[in-house]
Order: sequence, then C-alpha cells, then structure tokens
Amino acid sequence: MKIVQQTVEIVDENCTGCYRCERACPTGAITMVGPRKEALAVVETPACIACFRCIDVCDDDAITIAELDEPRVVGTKARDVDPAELKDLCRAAGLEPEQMACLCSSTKVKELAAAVINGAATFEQLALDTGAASGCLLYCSVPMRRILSAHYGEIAQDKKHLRRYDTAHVLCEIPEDAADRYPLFALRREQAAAHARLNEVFSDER
Amino acid sequence: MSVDGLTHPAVEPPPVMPTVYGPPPQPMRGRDLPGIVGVKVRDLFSDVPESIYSGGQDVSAVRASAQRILVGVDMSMIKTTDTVNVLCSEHGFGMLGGWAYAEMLTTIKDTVHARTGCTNVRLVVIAWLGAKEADEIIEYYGLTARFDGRVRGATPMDQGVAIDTAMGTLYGLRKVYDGDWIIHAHYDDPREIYLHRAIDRITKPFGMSYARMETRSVFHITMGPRSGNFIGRAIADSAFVRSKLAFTTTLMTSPDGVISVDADNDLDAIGNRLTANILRSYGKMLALFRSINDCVAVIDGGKWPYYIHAGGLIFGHLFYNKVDWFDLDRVEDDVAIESSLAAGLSESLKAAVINQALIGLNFTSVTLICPTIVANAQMADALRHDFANPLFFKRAEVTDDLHQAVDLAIQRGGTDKVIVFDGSYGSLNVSTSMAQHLSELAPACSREVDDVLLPKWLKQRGIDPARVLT
Repeated sequence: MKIVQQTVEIVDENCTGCYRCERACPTGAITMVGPRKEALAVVETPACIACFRCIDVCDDDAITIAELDEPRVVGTKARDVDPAELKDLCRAAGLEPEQMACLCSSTKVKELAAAVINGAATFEQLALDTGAASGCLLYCSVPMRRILSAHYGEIAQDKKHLRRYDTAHVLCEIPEDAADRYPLFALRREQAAAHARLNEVFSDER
Repeated sequence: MSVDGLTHPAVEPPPVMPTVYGPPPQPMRGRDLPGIVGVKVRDLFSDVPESIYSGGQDVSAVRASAQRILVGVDMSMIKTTDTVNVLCSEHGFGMLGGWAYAEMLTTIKDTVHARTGCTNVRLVVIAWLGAKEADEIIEYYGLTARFDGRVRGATPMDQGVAIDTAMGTLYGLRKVYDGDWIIHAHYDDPREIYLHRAIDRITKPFGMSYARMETRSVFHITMGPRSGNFIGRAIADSAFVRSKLAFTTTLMTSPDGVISVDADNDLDAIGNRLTANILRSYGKMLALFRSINDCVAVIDGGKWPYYIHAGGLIFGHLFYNKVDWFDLDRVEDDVAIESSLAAGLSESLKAAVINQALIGLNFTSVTLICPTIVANAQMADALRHDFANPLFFKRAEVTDDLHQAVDLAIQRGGTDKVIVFDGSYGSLNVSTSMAQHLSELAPACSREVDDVLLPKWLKQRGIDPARVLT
C-alpha cells in the first residue's frame, strides 16, 4: 500500500522524444504519443505511483514533480479476497503472506497475492494495484514474479522493451548438492528453518 | 580511562559530493556544533591497526601500497589486444572521501598497462540505482582522465547476462562481463554486517553490485543471514566468472583508515585475509557501539544514511547495535535476513538528526524507533520527494538549522551524548559527554573482544586464531 502524494508532469517543450521515461515507468503510466519521430511523453496521472524513475532517466529536464490536491491510496486489501485462495496462492509461490515484499511501499506478499486474485496479470498492473516497484527495487522483483507465475504460469512480458529477467530463486529451492558443497553458508540449516516456518504458516489449523 | 587528554578539536570530515540525489552540500556540518570534540579511535583502542591514509588528497601511500602488492600478482593471462574491465562499486567512493579507492583503481590500470602492454583497460563504475549516479562519480573523481577516456557507468537496471551457477541461472550485468578479463576491485568496509555477517565478504559484489536487480532481490527476500551470502559465492565460483577473473584487489582498512592495499589471483586467499582483517580491526569499535547506553546521532554525509561513517563505522552499525552480528551461533538467526534485522534494532539511539544524506533508500524505520529531526529545508525538500520514504514525515519533524535540530533532539531524546556520522575515519566527532562515555566503555570492550569474542568469531569462520592473532 502506498499513499501517493505527487505525480509527474511533462514539460512538452523540453521533451525530445527519447522514450527513456516510457521504458522506465513500472506501471506503464507514460506513453509516447504521436508519430515516432515526433512523439512526446504523456502521463496518465491516475496510473502514476510517484516512483520518479522517469525524472531520473530524463536528461532533458522535461519531467517535473507536481503535488496532488489530495493524496491517493494505492493498494489492495488482503481481507477483500477469499482467505483460502490467498493462502493457497502464497503457498504455491513459496512465500509467507506476512512477509514484506516491498519496503518502500510497505506492501506485503499477501497484498500482492490479493491483487493477482483480483485480476492483476502483469508486473505493471501489479505495481499499479499495490504500489510495489515504486521505490528502490531491491526487494520486490522476486515476490512479484513468484506470485504472478504461481497464479498464471509463465508470465507474458509486459512490454517488449522493458527488461525483466526470470530470476526468482528462494532459499528452499537451492539444490541439495550445492547446499552440501558450501557448508560455510549453513544452507541446510536455514532451509530447514524456512521449511518449518512455511509448514507452520500454511498448516490447515491456522 | 579518563576523558582528560583524550579529546582534541573536532576533525574535518570529507567534503560532500554534489548530487541530484540529495540536498546541496550543507555549509554547516556536525563538527561545527558547539561542544563537539574529536576522539581518536586509536586512543580508545591502541591495537586498532594504524592507517597509512585516513583522508585528504595525498593518496601517495595508497598508490605505493598498491604498487608493492601488485608486483606479486600474475597478469600473464592478459594479452596486449585484450579488453580488461576493472570493476568498482559506488560504496568504495563513500569511504574516506573516495580518493583512496580512486587511487587504487588508477594504480591497477597503470600497472596493467605497464606489465602487459594492454591499453584497453576500462573502468566500470557500478552505481546503485540512479541513472545519473555513476556519471556524477566519474566527473567528481576525474575518472575519465584517470582511465584515458575508457570509463563507463552501469546500474542494476542495465542489460543482463545469464550466468549458470550452483543455485541455478542468475543474472549479472553485461557491462561488467563484456571484457576478456575482469579485475574485482573491492574494499573491506564491514558495512552491513547485519546482512552479510562477515561471511565471504569478498564475493558479495558478484551478487549485488555486479548483478541485475532481480538477483539482488533474491538476496533480500527469502535468504537467511548465512545463506544469503551464497549468491555472491555461487556467481563467483561459476565457470563463466572464473574464466574471466584475472585477479582481485581490495582496500584493507581499519577504523583508523586505509592500512594497506591487498591483491591476489586467488579469490579465496584474499577473501580469508579480508575476513580476518574485518573481525580483528573492527571488532572492538563494534563492541563499543553495542555498549553505548544512550545517544543522539547526527547524520551528516554524502551517502545514504545507513552508510555514513563515524570513526570508520557506519550509522547502520549504531542503528542495529543490539546484537553481536559477528556471532554466527545465534539460533534466533534462522529467519529471512530482513526479519533477523529486527533483533538488532537499537535501544540506545534516542533521537536522530539528518543534516544531509542521499535519498532513495528506505530509511523510514528510523522514525519508528526514535524522534527524528530533519535539520534544514533543503534536506526536508529532498525527503518529501523521496520515492523510497513516502511516509517519512508522518513522524519526522523539520527545523530551520542544525543547531535547532540538535537542541530539539537532545530535548526529545533526553541525552546530550551526541555522535556525528560525517564520513570520518580515525576519529569520531562527538559531544564531550559522549567522549566521556566512550572512554569509560572502551577498556571492558577491549578485554571482551581479546579474550572471548575475536577467537570465537574467527573459529566460526574456519580461521585459526593462532594464525591471525600472533
């Protein structure tokens, strides 16, 4: 869940049509409009989750921050979906529902799962429905991919020019031979603890 | 130990590099506050290894040390027509003002030129996230001139390259691996010991700095405190990386500053030396931070708040000072890395002041554990537009200047023990009461590390204490 307090605005006269902002936007809120050689960036304000990555990649001072009149809450409540379905999806993804998936937007795994159950089928829609991917990006990639793929199977690439790589490893899936080859990292011990936690979280009694 | 004779005038911290990722460099620094004095780390712990360099523009000692150690490194694999990528990470420029790291990098390039005849030695400056970050570093440190124009930036969002590892396919950055050879140019700052736990620190950049964002996410989401370090090792041990790794260099440091440059063709050998040095050189200062009763922290530097130094330790070491992160036998550790952090949240940090720091890294948790005061309007403006901290001002307050901020923090925190994180090595800039506090704590910390902790930490990592401590 993220409280969005700002959005971005394009300074048309500065925009050089480089497409970098469109490629950087995690929700697809920016599109280039017009013939390719003359296209300018256009922002769909309701789809902006204020990550400001577009401003960062712009070398032309063509994007500015604008305060919203009223802050907008971006998020999906886990309690609004069937608890059993939510639990099953988190279990299939191998992630604890209460685990934080995105620190910057304070989004938990269960909120990602709820958004997917409600219909989010792409990284972009998932970001828009939860606020995930609006910050540092150090955390959210793996849980977003695992929740999406647990629900939909193979994920279609959202936008062909947006780079995403399919790494989504979790501790419990590291091969046993690797774990045994590198005892310094206590992989077996920490895998056992992780399995125990998942079993506890997903036990039918809970 | 008495505070008499222990203190000296506050030391000059490294200047703050101008950047679009933070406020303009602030003219008023923590060391300018009334009553702030300097305390030398070697006056607290005389056996902290003495530095050859602790700041400033004269980096000749670093260059000489690098030249000496590189004599023993085999470079015969590099042919005249080869392309060599020297890999460096932004945090190295956050240590001691960055000039020591820049000089080590330059010396590597010059030595490779001289020894092999290869002139296509490129510097790859890997920044954390910002698209402009690497360019700022390249300009500030004159890296284009140092590398004869062969320098380029990279971020974790750049094009990836698949690497087959023991844990499956992970993705590095193409710009890192697109040379015939790579030179891993590292530093041994213990930095986030609460995450990496001084386990195989030498390979960490392979899973972080040199990796795509998705690979970094693997570390942060489900891996545990020990197992998380396997990602870097798995990549470093891959056939792909081993076929390209020419040699490794590292800045060896202590809280006093740079003590030497180390280099080796054998990644594991240099890694073991680096680990032993971290435990030996930083253990006492970390024990000291764990012992602090109460304090106000002033964050006043040019990196993200957790990574700004005071006496060679980062603010993160104070923020997570409740447990001994070097101790690998804590059973409560068997949880995901981020969950394990909660055990270490400081109870001694009573208030925090932010005078200047970079934005972009989640830091809102500091506002949850103590009163947090932003010292000036420019820092506040940067934080208001910080995508990583949208709720920061739900709790944080803003003052007009640093004087007001520290006065308010002392009032809210109920302590006048102030410690300034301003990038300093060798000394800490602190209030007189904090100097007194540290001087009283130091002897017991020293004894505990010597007699109990250091031998234990070394043994836990398979290092014979007799080899390191004699």
